[in-house]
Amino acid sequence: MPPNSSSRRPLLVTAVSAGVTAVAAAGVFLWSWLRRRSRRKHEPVPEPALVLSGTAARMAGAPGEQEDAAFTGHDLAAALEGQEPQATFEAPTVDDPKLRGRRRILGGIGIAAAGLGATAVGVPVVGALLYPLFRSTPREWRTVGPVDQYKVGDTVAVSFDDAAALVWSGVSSRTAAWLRRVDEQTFLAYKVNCTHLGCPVRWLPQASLFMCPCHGGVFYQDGTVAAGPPRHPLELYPARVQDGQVQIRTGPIPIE
Amino acid sequence: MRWLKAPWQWFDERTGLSNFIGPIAQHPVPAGTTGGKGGWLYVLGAATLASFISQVVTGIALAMAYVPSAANAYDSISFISNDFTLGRVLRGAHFFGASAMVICIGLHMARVYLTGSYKFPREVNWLTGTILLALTVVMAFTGQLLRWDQDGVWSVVIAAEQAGRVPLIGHLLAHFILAGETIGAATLSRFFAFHVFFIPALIFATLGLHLYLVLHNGISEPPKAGRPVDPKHYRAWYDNLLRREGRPYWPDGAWHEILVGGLLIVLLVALGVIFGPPHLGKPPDPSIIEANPRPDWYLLWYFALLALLRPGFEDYFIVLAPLIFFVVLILVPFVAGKGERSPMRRPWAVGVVLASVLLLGGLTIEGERSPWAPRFNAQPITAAQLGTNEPLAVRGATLFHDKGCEYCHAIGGQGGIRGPDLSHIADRLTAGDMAAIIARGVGTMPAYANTLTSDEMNALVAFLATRTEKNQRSSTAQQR
Repeated sequence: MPPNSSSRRPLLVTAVSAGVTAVAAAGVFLWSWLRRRSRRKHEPVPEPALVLSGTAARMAGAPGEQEDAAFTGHDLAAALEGQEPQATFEAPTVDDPKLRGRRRILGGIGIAAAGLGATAVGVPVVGALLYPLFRSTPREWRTVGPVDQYKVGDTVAVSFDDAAALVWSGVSSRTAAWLRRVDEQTFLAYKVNCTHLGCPVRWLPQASLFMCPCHGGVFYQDGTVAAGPPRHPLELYPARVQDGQVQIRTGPIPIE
Repeated sequence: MRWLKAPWQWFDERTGLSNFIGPIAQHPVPAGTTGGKGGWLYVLGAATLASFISQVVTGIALAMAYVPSAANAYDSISFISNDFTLGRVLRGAHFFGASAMVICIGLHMARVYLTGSYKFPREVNWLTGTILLALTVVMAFTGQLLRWDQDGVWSVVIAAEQAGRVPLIGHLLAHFILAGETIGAATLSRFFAFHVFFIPALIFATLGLHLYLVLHNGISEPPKAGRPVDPKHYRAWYDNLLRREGRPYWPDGAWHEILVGGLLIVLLVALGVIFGPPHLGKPPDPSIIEANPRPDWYLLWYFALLALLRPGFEDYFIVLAPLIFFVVLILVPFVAGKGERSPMRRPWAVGVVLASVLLLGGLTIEGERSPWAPRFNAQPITAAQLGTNEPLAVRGATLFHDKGCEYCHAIGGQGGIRGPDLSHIADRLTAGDMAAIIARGVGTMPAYANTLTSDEMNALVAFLATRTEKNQRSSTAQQR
């Protein structure tokens, strides 16, 4: 089996993946910026005080509904020494306006760094996810036997290897076609996939019909719809005669 | 166990685990959810969780022997079934676990909907549940195709064809699913990654939020007719209810759930032991044309739906139906997020659940019967059934089988059921009518004008003309 000859277009993959992640990152940034702007417009939001609540407060031994729950080391030390808690240390830095800008910048730097990391690792990951969409599938002519093997007017099953097969594809890259010899030189290679949902149609030679086992689609011998849910005729693989051999060109599974 | 006490205290002192978990385990829940019948109504979510845990554990064990390669997966599955220690049981338990998860999540959702538990303030509980439902369906679908037998391969093709109906991006989606333009090496590897890593990660994240919300909003109290939810006062009222008659979740409520969850897992393993793994079909070779692709039972209803739709309508349906279904589920808490919770006061809700159950059940049965599918295994009409030696009719009986008529039409209980039963057709139609229908086709029947010679047509009609109730009775009498 020849190695897969499809070009992987690494530049295109990288560019598109980078684009997708960049757009996502830009979206998040834009959203947070818009939100912050609209919030600023309405009312100044007070910076949240450092509050221990819920489980954390319970763990620290604070009574449930304490007034402010600004529970600090001073309290703990006092409690341990069996003294009444003295003046609580007011988490003085929390509301310091001088520090607000600095905090915002430092926090922003942290988040930006995390975003950068996510973007950097996201590009190859998105690339892997979208890989099938970038792959250019090769097409190959596959020989399915000498012309004399086929009788004029007969339709028989033939199989060949898909062009995109890899060593570990195994039998799953085998492909079937219903090959019909129309006259001396003309062959038609019908794709076996029913045009309804892709199930493999069977040829009934005596009835001269293709029938689908899934939802009962029926096609005449020329591939046109005879009955059932399908609306389009069976598709064809290109077929030709070359040096006395019948050849079929590989192609995609027909998607409506 | 006393010797464990000191190390545990050492550990607990440094981790604070019992201080952290204790209040969560003991959080108060409404008395109605623990006592009497109430307790048993609230176990369905836990049963879903239990089957999910069982799936994770059996799945990990299966991954120790499964080879996610298109060339080897099929062989590795038969190795697991036949040679791997208890592999048969593992595969069986994993299959029944998937079924249990689908059933339990459906029942859980029905219960939550019927008791109005999705109403304020639990709307996001419902939304995360909806996401979990979608993820469960995706898991069920990707799981059955990892078997990578003939059905597995064809279900990928069918899924791609359905995705292909999406306007504009249909081809991209289809090629995304197939991992290319055809089935190949990448197809299975990608589905494996989705089934084993990607979707479970999403489930863990969503499940975490879902469980957190159960704690945050509290479990909903059993509904009472005439006690509507009023978003203004509900939270205060609920807190008051807990203070008045709250019970500790552990063990009052939890024991029901743990009992049911534990027994469910025992049942899954027992089913695995008794019935073993699901059938492994022919190898994943798309050039084997004798295929009869069917999804596992939990998706059979959808398979049936695709056969029963009118062709023109189908394009919209394939794309829109799942979309509308999930949009409706998402809208439920926004449209009906307050007011009466009791099913006694919500007849429409009861009706919707009943209708859904009937519809799904009916479609599943129909999918199992598949009346639209030709019966390729129909046997030729025997001389005893024929009941006549008239040469033309004998030839017609042979043609009835050979020309494929019998794949869709039954005679004497033998043959397909897509078209009408023709056992007594001569009582209803004249020979001329029959010839006209055969030549031109009607409804879902193809026209045979070009595939039958006039001799063959005469023979076929001669045979059908002998199909009367009277003749059938006399031929069965002769057989006796």
